[in-house]
Amino acid sequence: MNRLGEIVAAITALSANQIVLGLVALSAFMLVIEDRRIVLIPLVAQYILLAVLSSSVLYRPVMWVRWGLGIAIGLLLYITASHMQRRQIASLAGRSRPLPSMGFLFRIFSFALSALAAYGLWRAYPSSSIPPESNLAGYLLMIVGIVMMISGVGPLRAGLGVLVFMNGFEAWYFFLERSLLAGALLGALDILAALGIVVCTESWLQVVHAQERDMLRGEEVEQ
Amino acid sequence: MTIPWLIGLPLAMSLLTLVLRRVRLVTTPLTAATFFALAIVLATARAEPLIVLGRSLELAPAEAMLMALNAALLGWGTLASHRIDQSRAAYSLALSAFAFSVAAVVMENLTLAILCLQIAAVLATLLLPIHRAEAAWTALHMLFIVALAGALLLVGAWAIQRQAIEPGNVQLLHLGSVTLALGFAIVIAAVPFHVWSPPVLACGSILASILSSVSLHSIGLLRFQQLLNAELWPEEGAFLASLLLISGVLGVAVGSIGAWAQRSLAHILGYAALAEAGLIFIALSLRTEEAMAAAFLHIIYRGLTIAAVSITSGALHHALGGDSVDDLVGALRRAPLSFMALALGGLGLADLPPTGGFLSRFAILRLVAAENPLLAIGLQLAIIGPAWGVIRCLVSAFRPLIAPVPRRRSLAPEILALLLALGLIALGLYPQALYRLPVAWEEVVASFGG
Repeated sequence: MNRLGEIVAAITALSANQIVLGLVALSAFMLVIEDRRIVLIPLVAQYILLAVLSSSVLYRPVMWVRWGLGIAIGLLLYITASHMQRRQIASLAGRSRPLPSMGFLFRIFSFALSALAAYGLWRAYPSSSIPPESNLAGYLLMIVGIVMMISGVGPLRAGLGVLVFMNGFEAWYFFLERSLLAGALLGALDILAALGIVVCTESWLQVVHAQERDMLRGEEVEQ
Repeated sequence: MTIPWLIGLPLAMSLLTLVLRRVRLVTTPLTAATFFALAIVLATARAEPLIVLGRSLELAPAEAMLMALNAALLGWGTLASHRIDQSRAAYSLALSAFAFSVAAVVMENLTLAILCLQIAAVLATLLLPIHRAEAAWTALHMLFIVALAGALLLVGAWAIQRQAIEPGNVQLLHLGSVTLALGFAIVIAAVPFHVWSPPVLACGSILASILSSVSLHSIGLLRFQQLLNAELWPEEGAFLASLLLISGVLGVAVGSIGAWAQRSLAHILGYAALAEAGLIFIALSLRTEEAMAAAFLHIIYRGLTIAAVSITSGALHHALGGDSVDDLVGALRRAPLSFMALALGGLGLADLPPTGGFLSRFAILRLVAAENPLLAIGLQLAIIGPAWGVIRCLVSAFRPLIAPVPRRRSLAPEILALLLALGLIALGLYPQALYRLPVAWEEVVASFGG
C-alpha cells in the first residue's frame, strides 16, 4: 500500500514538461507497437498523465475519477483485445480493410511526421487560454489519433485512434470549460465511446469468424 | 414538470428494457408505448421553461413538434424491428439516445446541448453493427465523426460564450463562427461533409437510421437555425446564405447522382436523403418567412420518408434476405406488401405526387424559381436520380423468380412499412391535417423561422 502511495505521489509530482515528454513517448509507443493488448498500457497511462496535466484546473477528486475512468476503459478494451488475440483471425483480418498493415519503419516514420505536424501547429497557433504544454499535448494526441484511425488494421486499433483523438481534445478542453457537469458528460462520452469500440470490434470478430468458418467448410467440401 | 418527464421517462424505461432485454415480447411493446406516450406529450402539452441547477431548460413549439415526430417514428420503428435481427440492447439504446436528444434540444446552454447531442449520437452508433463487417467499420467511422464534430462544436460554443464576455475580441468571434459552421456542417451532412450519412443509412438498422438521419439531423438543423436567427454572424449573413445555397445545390446533385448509381434500396435511401437535406439547405438559404415554413415542412416529410423506406428495407431483408436489385427478383409475389411499401415510399424518395414531400418540394422550388428559374429547373430534374433507383428496384421485383425459395416470416414489418408509406400519401392528399394539431401550425413554423 505504501509503495502504491509512493508511485501515486511520484506521478502527481511530475512537472508539465515531464508529462508532455511522457505523452510523446506513450504516443510513439502506441503508434509503433502492433500488439493489441500491450498497446492498452500506454492508453491508460495517457489518461493518468492527462488528468495530472489538467489538475491545476480540475478539482482533486475529479482527477482521481479521470484515473479510474482510464483504468476502466483499459480493462474494458483488454477483454476485447484478448478475444481478438485468441481467435487468431490474422489470416482474414486484412480482407475487410483495404490497407494492409505497414511495417515497423513506416510506423516510426508516421510518428515522426505526426510529431512534426503537431510541433508546427503548436508554434503557429498558440493559445492564450491553454498552457503551452497542454496545447502541444493536445495537438500531438489529436494528430496521432487521426493517424491511428486511418492506418489502423482492425477495428480495435482504429477505435483506439478515436480515444486518443478524444484525449487530445480533452487536454485542451479542461482549460477552456471548467463546469463539473460538462466534465461529467465528457467522462460519460469517453466510456460510451470505449463501449462503442468494444461493440464494433466484437461484432466484426463474429462476422469474420463466421466467414472463416464458411470458407473452411467450403474447402472441406471441395476436398 | 413536463421537461423532466421527457428526459426521465425514456431513461427509466431504458434501464428497465436493459434488464428485460431477453424478453423481447415485453420490451417491444414497452418501448413502443414509451415512444408513443412521449410523442403525444410533446405534441399536446406545453412545456413550461425550467431552471435546474442554474441551467435554463426550454422547449419551443417547433422543437416540441419535431421531437414528437421523432418519438412517433421511433415508436413505429420499434414495432417494425421486433422480428428483425438486431442487438438485444437496441431498445434500451434507442430510449437513452432519445432522452439525450431531448436534453440537447431543451438545454439553453450550447456547450451542454452539444455534449448531450454527442452522447445521443454515440448511443445511436452502438445500434449500427449488425452482423456485417462493413457495419462495424461504418460505426467506427461514425464514432470518429462524432468525436470530430463534437470537438469543433465545443470549441465554437466556448469561443462564442467567451466573446460575450470580451466583446472586442474579434478573433474569438472568427474562431467560434468557423468551428461552429464546420461542426454543424458535419452534423447536418452538408456536402462535402456528408460522408457519414449514406453509409449509416445503408447499414440497414431501422432504429439507427431514424435516430441518426432523422432525429439527430433535425436537432442539428434546429440548433443551426437558432444560431442563424440569433444573428451570430450579422455581417456574414449573406456569405453564410450563399454557402448554404452552394452546399444545398451540391447535396442535391451528389444525392441524385449517387442514388442513380446504387443497386440496393438502403443505398438509394442514403443518397436520396442527402438530396432531400440539400433541398432543405436551399430553403434555409433564402431566409424568408415562406421559405422557413417550406423548409420546416420538408424536414417533417423527409423524416417520414426516411422512416418508411428504412422500415421497408428492413422488411425486405427480413422477407427476402436482402434489398439489392438481385434480391428483389420476384418480390411482387414473394413479398407483395413490401413491394407496395417500396412503390409508395419510392414516390416519397423522389418527392413525386401524391406524397407530402411533393408539396414542400414544390413550395421550395417556387421560391427558388422566383430568383433563379434555371436553378429551379435543375433541382426539379434532380428527382430523376432517386426515381431511377426506385424504378430499377421495382422492375426487378416484377421479374419472375424461376425457383422461389419459401421463407417463414412475420408480416408485421411489411404491414408497418406499408402503413407508414400510406401515411405519407395521406399527408400529400390532405395536408390540412397539419392544421388540426393541438398546437397552432403557424406558431410552430414561426418558432422555427425565428
